[in-house]
Amino acid sequence: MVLDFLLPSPPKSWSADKTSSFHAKITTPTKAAIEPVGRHFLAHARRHIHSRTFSEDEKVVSEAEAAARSAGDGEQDNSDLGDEPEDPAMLRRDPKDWKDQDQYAVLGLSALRYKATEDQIRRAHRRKVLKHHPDKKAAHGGLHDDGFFKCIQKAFETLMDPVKRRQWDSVDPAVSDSIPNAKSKSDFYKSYGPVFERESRFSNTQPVPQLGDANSAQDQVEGFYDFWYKFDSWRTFEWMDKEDGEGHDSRDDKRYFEKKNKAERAKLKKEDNARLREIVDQALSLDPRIKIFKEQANKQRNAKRREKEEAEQRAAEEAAAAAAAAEAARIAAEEAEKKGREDGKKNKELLKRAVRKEKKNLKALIKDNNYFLPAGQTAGPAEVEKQLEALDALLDGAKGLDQLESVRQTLEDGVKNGNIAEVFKAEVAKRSA
Amino acid sequence: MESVVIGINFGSSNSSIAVLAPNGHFNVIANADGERMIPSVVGFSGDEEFSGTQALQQAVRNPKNTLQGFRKLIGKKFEEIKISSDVTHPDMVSKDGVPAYKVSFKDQEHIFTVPAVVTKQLKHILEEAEAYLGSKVTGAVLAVPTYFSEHQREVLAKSAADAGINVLQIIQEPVAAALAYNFGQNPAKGDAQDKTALVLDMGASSFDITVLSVRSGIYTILETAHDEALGGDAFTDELVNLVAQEFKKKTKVDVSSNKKALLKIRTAAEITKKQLARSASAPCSVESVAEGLDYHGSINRLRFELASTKLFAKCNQLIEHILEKSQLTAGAIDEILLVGGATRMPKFQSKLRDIFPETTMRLDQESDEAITVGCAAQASLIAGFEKEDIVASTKENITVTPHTVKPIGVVGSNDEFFTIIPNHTPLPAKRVFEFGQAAAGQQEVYFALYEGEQDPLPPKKEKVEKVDIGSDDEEEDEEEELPAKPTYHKTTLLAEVVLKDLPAGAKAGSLHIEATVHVDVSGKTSITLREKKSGKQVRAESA
Ligand SMILES: Nc1ncnc2c1ncn2[C@@H]1O[C@H](COP(=O)(O)OP(=O)(O)OP(=O)(O)O)[C@@H](O)[C@H]1O
Ligand SMILES: [Mg+2]
Repeated sequence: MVLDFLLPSPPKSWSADKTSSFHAKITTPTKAAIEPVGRHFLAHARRHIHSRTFSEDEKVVSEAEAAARSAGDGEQDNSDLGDEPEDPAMLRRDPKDWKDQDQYAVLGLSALRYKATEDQIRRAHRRKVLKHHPDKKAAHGGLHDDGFFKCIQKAFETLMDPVKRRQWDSVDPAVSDSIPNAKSKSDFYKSYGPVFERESRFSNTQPVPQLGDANSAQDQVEGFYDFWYKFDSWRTFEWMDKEDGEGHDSRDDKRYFEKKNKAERAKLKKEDNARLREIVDQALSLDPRIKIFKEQANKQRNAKRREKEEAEQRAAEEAAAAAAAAEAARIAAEEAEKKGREDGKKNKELLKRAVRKEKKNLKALIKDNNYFLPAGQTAGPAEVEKQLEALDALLDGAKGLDQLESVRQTLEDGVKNGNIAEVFKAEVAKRSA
Repeated sequence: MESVVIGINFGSSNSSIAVLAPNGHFNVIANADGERMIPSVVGFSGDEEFSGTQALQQAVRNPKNTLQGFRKLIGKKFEEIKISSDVTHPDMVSKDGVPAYKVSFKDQEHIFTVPAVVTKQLKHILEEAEAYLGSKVTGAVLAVPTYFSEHQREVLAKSAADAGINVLQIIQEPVAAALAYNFGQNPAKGDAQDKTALVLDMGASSFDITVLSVRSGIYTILETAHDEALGGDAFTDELVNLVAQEFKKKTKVDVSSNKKALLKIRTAAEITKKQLARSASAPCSVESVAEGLDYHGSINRLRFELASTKLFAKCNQLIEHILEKSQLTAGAIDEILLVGGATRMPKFQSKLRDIFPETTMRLDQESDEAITVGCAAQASLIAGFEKEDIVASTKENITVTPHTVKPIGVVGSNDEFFTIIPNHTPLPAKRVFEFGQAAAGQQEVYFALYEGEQDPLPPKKEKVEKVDIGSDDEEEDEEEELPAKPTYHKTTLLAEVVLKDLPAGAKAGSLHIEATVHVDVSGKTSITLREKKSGKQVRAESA
């Protein structure tokens, strides 16, 4: 129950940590008698006897029901026929009106109908005969005559004759001819599956492809609709023929009836074909799989197109990238070349500077060491002049920084060893030669 | 053995039988002549003993040996009963204090006690049922008026057992009728679970009114009233008087004290009365009323209704009386269940409409079959039960249970009281209601449970009893006030519960908060609030 009432927020004074508070008891209940009738009372009694709560009881009952459903069938070999109660009105039927009787209900086969096998019909018939045989009824002081027994026999004859059974099945009022409501929101497979199953009984070609479900393959689904659009139905409307009125045995009358019946049959048949057609049309238009297949086909087409476009684009992009790379390489080479050039200049400069420095060092070294004269010899201006010239000659002879360095090394060693005069002389001789 | 159970209505003038039909409905069965009512009559003639229709047919010819109205005498002592001894009634004697009929039969005098006659009638009913079903009846449910004492029920059960009936249960007539009308039996399917009905049963010999409440499918009788002088027979009597007057006018023969003649008129008048329910006038023919003179006439419905004005007024008085006794306004009655053949009278129904202009008047069940159908429904419910279980379930420890005295409910912002568990609800009781939350984004809801009290009944207006000429020219009525529905106000705060941490950002009223209120036999209350989508819940129970 939904009450037209909205729950407010707790009042301001309500403390945050509280979830409930109880203030008063209800007015002391008074004892009164309840009436021991109806299923709700029985539930009350059950709860009381077993001291169960409402929900415990609901659970127990639903479990028991489930258990009863799963058991129950099995022990009798006629269990497949069910145990249909007999409508008292049916039992009083006039056998003269056998054509209007429900042939299946008379044999207790209402649940099976066109699905009943020949064997089932035989067994159902036997069961009814045992129960309703006039001899048997008379023994029990039965009031009724053998009317219903005759009804049973008529039903059996009808259902055992394949032609007559088809005629009856064609017009069985207990099997629906309905077309599902196209606007209904119910599950497509649940509402159309049984319809096609039901209509399948009229097919000349068996087995008949069924609706399937959401997982059915596309070719199955397409095959299904293909079949149903070409449906070949044996449904016939002879059962509805108007009887040739008694007494009219003139040939003309007979012919007149025949003609009328034939026309009527054709009309009904046409209507029925249209009806089936409508079911198939409607199913096709509502079938979610058809929609999915269409979408899938669309998607595939789109995907292919996109793939092609992407490939083209990729090729264009690759070409552009290659061109860009070539250009970059060219620029890099140019740059490197330029740099190399600049580096050479810089090295020469450095070298020159080093050489100059080396020469300066040697000139300092000679000054500091008595102009490389033998020890004790005073360096007069002439000697100094001569020694400096000799050094210049030596330096000129020493090509490059390496040689300068080794000259310096040698001279420094000479200074250290105290034989610089000789070393210098030898060196000058060696280099300036 | 397969169970074949039936419902039997053994009324004081008519009996009937109902069975479960293959279509799931309960049908009243017809005999070979297509009659669904079996007259509650036993008759003796010559060497033969009859029941039902055949017995009734000889009533005029052989009234001394035709027994009627014996159901009323069940379980009564001889001293307690009123005996009308005249040429049209059988003689009655006491047999060990038990009333008994003295009849001549097979050239002898025989004494049949009331229980023995009841057994004969019930045996006849059982035979009819078995003939129709073509099998043995394994059990039956019967109904008795609410004023039947425990002793009367026992005597009836014994008579039924003697007739070969396996009595599964004896239930109350108005309750059986309620079952037939399926009153409040499908509380889940859009039918309110708590309602109040007025069961109006006018049979042949009495008018029985019952205020019946249903709470989650369980019935409690709140009040009963009955008038044994009011019933179809009383109305027939009016018609008999009318015909006698007419007859006198035409023939100058006064039959007002000629019992035999009146009996003859009565048989015809009974038929005329029923026809008048369907047409504005009906013929009435009685052959050789007195002194060899016939009566052929026709009665106008208006005339009949005018002659019955007093009776109709009495019906209304009894209804007003029971409403007052049970502290109910006409507006508090949710449904009117019509039971008994005499409630078919159009005037009866239109007078009822005047009191209950808005109440649902149930006509979806043949009124004189309602009890029968209800008995059959109950029979098929308990058909599979062990006898001890049925007996155990009707014991006082189960059927006598605490009931709420005051309604329990919630109170809206303008102090309006919404009932969750009404008064007269048997305990334990459980009700589940759904609410929204008041404001958008509200993440806590507050549920306060109150006990309430009915607002005082509006003062009763003194009605000026119009001299009702039975005509329908009542159009110029001053503005008709509709009977008020009962309203309530809160009296006591019972409990408060808060459900927190609800999903954020919900629109106002969009949350589905289910409140389960449970009250146990001692009056202990528990409340569960649950937000359905998130499953957030809080449960609180009184100490
Ligand atoms: N169409 C009708 N119009 C008027 N009265 C009718 C109609 N049908 C039946 N009655 C009356 O209803 C009465 C019988 O009703 P019903 O069968 O409910 O009685 P009952 O249950 O046997 O009697 P009781 O309830 O007094 O024990 C008879 O008085 C009959 O005249
Ligand atoms: Mg009655």
